[in-house]
Amino acid sequence: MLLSDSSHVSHLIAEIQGYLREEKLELAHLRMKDLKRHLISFKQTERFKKNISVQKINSNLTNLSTHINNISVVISKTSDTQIDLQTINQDIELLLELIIEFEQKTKNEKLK
Amino acid sequence: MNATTDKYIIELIEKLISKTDINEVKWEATSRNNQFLLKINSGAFIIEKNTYPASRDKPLISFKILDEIGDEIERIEQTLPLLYDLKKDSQTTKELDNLINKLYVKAEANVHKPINDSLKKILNELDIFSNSKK
Repeated sequence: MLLSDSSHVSHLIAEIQGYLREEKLELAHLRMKDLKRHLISFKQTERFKKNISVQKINSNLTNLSTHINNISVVISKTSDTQIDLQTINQDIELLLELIIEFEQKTKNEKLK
Repeated sequence: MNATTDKYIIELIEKLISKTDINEVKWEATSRNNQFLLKINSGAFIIEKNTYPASRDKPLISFKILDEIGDEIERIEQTLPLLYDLKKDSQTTKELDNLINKLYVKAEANVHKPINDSLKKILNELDIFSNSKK
């Protein structure tokens, strides 16, 4: 994983947060699925494995997958489900923190 | 599901109920109402209550087993009682339904425990305060 990839993910996260604030659930849902794909491929890279604990990334991925499924249920209107967009936004924020943590550790590594 | 998978799932749910009962595991509330999540190293579990148009009077409970990144591996859904007779193994179906109902109640209590404990403490403190004023 390169720093340019992580900056792309940061932009993706900002885009998702914008859609969630505007309650554009279909667009947020699509971008969240993209984010999940990126995170799964990051997870496989040696640099990511070295800097971020597997447990931490898995926990964040589980939250993300749960939110993706919950938004999907709301979009499809199959049951009387209510979701809290603020909780989703908070968890997305935690993912951003994880990416920042990764960027910082990678930068520090380069300085050594 | 085959009989062996059923057996494992029954054992798993029973274990989750007992671990939840003694607060050895910590369920979390999610972004969705009436849905609780429990993460372990090798995966996660979701227990949730769903209200469908066909079951408006009686919400149905679902239990999901997730892999380590949150993808669904297995799902058990409560059966509407009127459909019991149509199920091949209605005894196992009833047993699973009872267990996931029980797990839902326990998981909900587990999520609310920290808040309830804090409220109890505050009430106790207020009681002590008002008693000492008398």
